[in-house]
Amino acid sequence: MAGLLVYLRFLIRRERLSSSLWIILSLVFTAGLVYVYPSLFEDQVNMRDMLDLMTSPAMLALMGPAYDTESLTVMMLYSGEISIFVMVSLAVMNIFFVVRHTRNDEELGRLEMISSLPVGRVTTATATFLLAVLVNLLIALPTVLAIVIIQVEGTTLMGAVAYTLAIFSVGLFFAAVALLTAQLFSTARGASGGALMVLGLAYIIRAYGDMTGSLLSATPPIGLGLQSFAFLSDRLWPSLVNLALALLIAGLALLVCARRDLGQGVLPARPGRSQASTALLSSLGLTWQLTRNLVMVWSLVLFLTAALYGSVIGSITDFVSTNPLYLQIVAGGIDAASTLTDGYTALLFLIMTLLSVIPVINITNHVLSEEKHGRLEALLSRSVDRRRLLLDSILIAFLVSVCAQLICAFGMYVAAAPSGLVDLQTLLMASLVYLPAIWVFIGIGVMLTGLAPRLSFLIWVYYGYAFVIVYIGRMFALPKWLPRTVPFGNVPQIPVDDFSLLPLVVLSVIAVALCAIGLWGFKQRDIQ
Amino acid sequence: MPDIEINGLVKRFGQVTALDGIDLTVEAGEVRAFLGPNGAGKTTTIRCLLGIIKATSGSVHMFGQDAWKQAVELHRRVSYVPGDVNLWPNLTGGEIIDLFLSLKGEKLADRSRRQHYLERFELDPSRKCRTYSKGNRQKVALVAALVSQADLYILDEPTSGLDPLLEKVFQDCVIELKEQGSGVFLSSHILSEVEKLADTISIIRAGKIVESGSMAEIANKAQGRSLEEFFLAEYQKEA
Repeated sequence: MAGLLVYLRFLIRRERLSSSLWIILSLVFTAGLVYVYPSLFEDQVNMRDMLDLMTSPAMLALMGPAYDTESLTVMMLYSGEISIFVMVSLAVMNIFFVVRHTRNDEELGRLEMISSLPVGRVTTATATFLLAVLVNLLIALPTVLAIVIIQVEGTTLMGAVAYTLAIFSVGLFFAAVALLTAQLFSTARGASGGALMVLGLAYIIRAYGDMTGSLLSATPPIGLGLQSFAFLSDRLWPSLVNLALALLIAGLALLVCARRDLGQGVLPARPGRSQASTALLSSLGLTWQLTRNLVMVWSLVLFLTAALYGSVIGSITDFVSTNPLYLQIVAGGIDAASTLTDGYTALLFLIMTLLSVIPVINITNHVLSEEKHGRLEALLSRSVDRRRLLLDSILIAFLVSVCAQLICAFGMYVAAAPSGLVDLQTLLMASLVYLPAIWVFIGIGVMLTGLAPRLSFLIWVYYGYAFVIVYIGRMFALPKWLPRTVPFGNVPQIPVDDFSLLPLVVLSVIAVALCAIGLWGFKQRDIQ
Repeated sequence: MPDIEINGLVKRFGQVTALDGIDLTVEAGEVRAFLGPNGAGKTTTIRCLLGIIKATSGSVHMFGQDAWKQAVELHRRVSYVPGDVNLWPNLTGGEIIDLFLSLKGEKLADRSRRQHYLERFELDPSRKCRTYSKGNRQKVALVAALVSQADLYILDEPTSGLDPLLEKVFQDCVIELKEQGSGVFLSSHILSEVEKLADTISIIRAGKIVESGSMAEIANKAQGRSLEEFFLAEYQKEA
């Protein structure tokens, strides 16, 4: 362990910015949510409706076991709905944190230089884990304080401690898992992939347990952590078990680390194809190969999200009808069963569209990201036309936009059909009507790629603006022209609005024009 | 018709003048070495040649055609090794070699030439690029360029990261290209390599060509000094 303190100081210096950011963000997130949570519910009846909503199979799978109590408090709802989300984000943070300082540094050859100094074999791994403990503590302690200070209905010190210890122990558990996978895999990608796989499995197994009501519900670490039932039972032992497991895994990781060669993993790297498949042998094939994982993951996310929203269509109307705020958002204040379902459907596809735009923008920006990585030169020095290269991404982005909207419609239909409240044709219409608005985002991305590659972040600024306008716009009476400044605000919201063709044609024309400008610019400019 | 003909090439990036009136010719089938200190404009010149960046003024031609306007067609006859090899981390070396050949419009049917170069450079094509060392990434780029049959090879510091044995293999390959009658434009820092391979030399400093001529002419100008001493003097000379 020679040099542990010196190396730890060095790590803290490297981490001061990004870890501070995580600490501040998670604190702002927790404090902000605790602060607004009471205002989300109208009264005890409304809170009961929310609890009923959380006992539906889809919600159980997503959020974990619902609180079983007669005297429901706001903090119980908070803990029941937010815990798992915070656990997963902290797990992801810890995984990337640990891999960044272990296998990633090793892969880049930095650890080799450190190892040539009088530094112990497991010093860097130990220092990384200790710093992970420190960062998690710096998130946990202020979280307890924030919850206690903000004091809403149901806040107790023991509850705050139980809640925080649960998320802390899950975070640390995955820091330990990542420390282990960093020893097993020989690449940073393999190490973080392996740890994320453990996270996914832990989540899915406990989701299955929650839906079937079996013991698997308490699968460590997430399912076990949720057994704390903070602000009701305030159990500490599940978190302590998680912490013990974390220490065990970390110890195992250090044991492996002490015995293996630097630069090597325990699991061998798998060889790939030594010849290209014919599908790869064109710029379109290459673009597809490089974007298809993204497309697959997003397809799954969109389908599951749409199905989740669809599955609660029956119980959501009950919940909404007892809450004036949501009634305003969903149905413009009118409380009639049919209007509510229609309003919910229209709102759902607006939200789903905001999601499906994300992969479309990512793929549109593919050429730009290749340029930033210095890989465009290798293609353009072969016999590849620039506009063709950009058109390939446009084509894939276009196809993804259509598929995404179809997936949203079918995802909702599959889950909502048993309720008898929806029909497929309406859902398809409500979903596909947003396509021209999505295409405008393709156009903006292409235009920025062609004319102003350095300003490419503007597309995300505009997306953020659209997001806010669309969301806030439903809660407040904004001036009528304001939603018109974003593509989604010009689309007829089916089934609430009547279908009209003109705005869709105008949006499509704008999208095509922006693409044309971008292609022209891309032909003219220097490649970095 | 010369393989490369550059006249009065100027390239500005905003206020900065990177190339300040470059004149340079590579005759058909000759090996021209392109030398100069770091930051002198070697890579910028090559990027203009490849139509990746656009000349501010002056003309850049390959095989008599405009390098910017006819870039796509010209690249069927050109093979290029970049100085800084950036590859896709999750594709294998073999996949990238095939992709590059195919993007040049070449048939992949004849595998013997590919196999020949893979063996010569001792490259394992089944590994993902993420797991290659710097030298191995360089080999991927070299094999991809050499397998392809071109009239002109543009090589930007192609041997950085190679060991002396492979450096020798590379030199043999260039000599074979020359025997085939292909032109080679070789940017390099390694004087022994240049001495062995080049027919003609151009030296660039601060965006200007400061010396140009055949090996014999350069030896004459060196007046008994070694090539290394001559170059050091040229690099340091005031503009």
